Amino acid sequence: MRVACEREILTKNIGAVQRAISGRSTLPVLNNILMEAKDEQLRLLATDIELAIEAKFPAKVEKEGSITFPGKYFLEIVRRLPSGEVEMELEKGTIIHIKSGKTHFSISGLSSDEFPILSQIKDGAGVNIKPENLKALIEDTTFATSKDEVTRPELSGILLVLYPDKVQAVGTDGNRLALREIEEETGITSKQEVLLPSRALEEYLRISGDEEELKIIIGQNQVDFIMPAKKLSTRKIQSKFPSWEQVIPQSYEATFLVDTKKFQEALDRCYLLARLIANKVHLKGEGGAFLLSTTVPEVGSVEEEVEWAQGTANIELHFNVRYLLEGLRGIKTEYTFIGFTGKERPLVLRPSDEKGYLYLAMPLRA
Amino acid sequence: MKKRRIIHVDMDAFFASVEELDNPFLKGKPVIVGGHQTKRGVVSSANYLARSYGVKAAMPLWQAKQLCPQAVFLPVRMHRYAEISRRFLEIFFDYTPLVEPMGFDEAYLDVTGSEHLFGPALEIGKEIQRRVKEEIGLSCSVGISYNKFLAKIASGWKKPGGLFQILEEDALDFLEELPLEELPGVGYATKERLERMGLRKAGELRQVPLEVLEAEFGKMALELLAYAQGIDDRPVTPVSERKSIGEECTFAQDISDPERLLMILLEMTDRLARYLRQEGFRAQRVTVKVRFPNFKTITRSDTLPQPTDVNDEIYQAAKRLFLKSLPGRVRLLGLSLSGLVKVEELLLFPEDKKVKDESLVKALDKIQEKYGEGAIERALRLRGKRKG
Repeated sequence: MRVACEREILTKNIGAVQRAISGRSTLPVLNNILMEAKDEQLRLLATDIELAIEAKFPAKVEKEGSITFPGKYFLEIVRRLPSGEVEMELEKGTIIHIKSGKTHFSISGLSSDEFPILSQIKDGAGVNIKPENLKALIEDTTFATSKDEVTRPELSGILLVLYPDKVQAVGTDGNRLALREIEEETGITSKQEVLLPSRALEEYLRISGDEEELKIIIGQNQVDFIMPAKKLSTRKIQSKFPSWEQVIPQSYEATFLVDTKKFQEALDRCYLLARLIANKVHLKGEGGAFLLSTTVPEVGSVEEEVEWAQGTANIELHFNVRYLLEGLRGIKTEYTFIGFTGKERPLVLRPSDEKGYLYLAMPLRA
Repeated sequence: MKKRRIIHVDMDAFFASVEELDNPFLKGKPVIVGGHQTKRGVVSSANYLARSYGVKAAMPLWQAKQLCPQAVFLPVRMHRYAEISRRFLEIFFDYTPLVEPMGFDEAYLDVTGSEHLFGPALEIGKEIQRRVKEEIGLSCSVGISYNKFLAKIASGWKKPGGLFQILEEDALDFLEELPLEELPGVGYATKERLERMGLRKAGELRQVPLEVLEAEFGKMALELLAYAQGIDDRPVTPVSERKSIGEECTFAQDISDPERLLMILLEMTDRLARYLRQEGFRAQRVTVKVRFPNFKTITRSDTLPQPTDVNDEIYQAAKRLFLKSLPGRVRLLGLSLSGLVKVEELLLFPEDKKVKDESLVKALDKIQEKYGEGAIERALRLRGKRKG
């Protein structure tokens, strides 16, 4: 193999694919990136078996060939090279020489024969989602998923519900739930659901920055995100997602509108103390305002008042302040709609136009 | 009392089998899973092909590499095993609510009350085995008997893919030749001591008078003898009833000053109570454990009028229990809180209760990580507290 390309392009692409390396593999080749020079193109591929990221870009290929090299190492080297052209050449099958100006590294790689062959999707269904739409779907739900992949794997993923004319994304950790809905011509003819690891979708966000097109292929066990110059494959989560539709309230006991920014800032200040007691904050609605308070034994207390723009009923409940703070992030309107459905029932947050986003947070028992 | 019907399900080479399931390119290759997330650098699981080269669980990876250099070495993917584990637990729950998972790859099922619905335990075992194969694609071994100990022996009898029942009338014959290290609680040290008494098999142990065993093993003698006779009353305890947190400390040098011991108890109380509050738990029961230089260990418990997360309420109870045990020189001091309730957190999906309880146990495990790592003198533990 002998190949040359621009340092910036190489750095960017190694940076993208190496995100798939989890670094906890005892199989050395899984800590490596596969590099393949062929047809005036360089192809890079990395995987930890759960997630695979591939990138392709034009390069001056003088001699075709392939090799795998230690991902993090390589990135550190290439990043520090002077800008301009980088030459890479293979010697004796597994030594890779990296040259740029007056710099010369030679690094031991592993034969590409050892790299696992990734499973390919057979007869997958194609789905269209515009990149900016997928970005919003992920960003507004991933925070609500459980970080504990071991205890409840299904809650560590995002459920994508695909319709011919819209897409819903749902994330929940069992105590709160975020739902984002976007109109989209998906190109499919009947409803379909797929549960994907949050980690894979977050990596998609990181690498998809300048990609303008996206095609999603859904297979039996795997889903591929195909972009013009990159491809990300992830396994599906196979445990059963909870019946989320049943917990979406159909009616409210009381509804309110509050200034989103003021509400968020008040909650943020309450959090300073509430974090010492499982994030518990007392919320009381009366006389045209919400009164928020938290008292921490031996430390101190805080009180906040947030006036309603609309609302009448008196309510009282306790809740985890972090849940509300995080839920508010998905609300881009000036005012936030708050729906109260009962003392031990979910509290609902929506944008004031009640479109596209819905967030549920279970209160705490008094 | 009605004879119990217990099933023990043990997944065959679980981690390695999951990897084979997920990665078709591993077909026909020796597979070894190990490394990260468990003890550094040891084999967590090896498939049967790798085992045929002499690779065993808990063996250092370098040794496994020597024995089987062509093996594919893979990292431990705990979340993936957990995902699969949940799927087969769901299958078990179809037959009984009394499911006690042991780690991710084993579980006990009490199907005493299920036989009239699903047929004999042996049939239930067979069906579970078939469903695990068909619905998940993995092989498991199933043992059936009238208690946990023998059900586990039965599942190990014809591994992999075994289905074996030990009937009560056959139990004694069966135990005759059983090596003593197969008894629950018999580790290396106990095995050595038994061997010094000339005992190697359960059949031999059974003949020894209780007094003789008691002189050597104290309280444990009765338990050993019971196992050797095929008696085991340990109930199958679902996870939800096993909530406790605790901390214990083995001192570098024995401590006899009660004031100092009380101070240590207070520090433990503070840490545990802070944890309770942070995570929104309250505890109903306080247990103090004291071990003396001669390894004699006593534990005393008290139930509080209501669950609490208040330091002083916990400390007062702990202090009372500690003083009641009138310690002299102390080698180990422990405090644990059980009957934990997450009184405050309401769930969006209440039907997932049984699952949620597992995550609670998991959460508690995390403090073990936090304080446990590298701390030689202190061990924070999550213990299974049995009913009754």
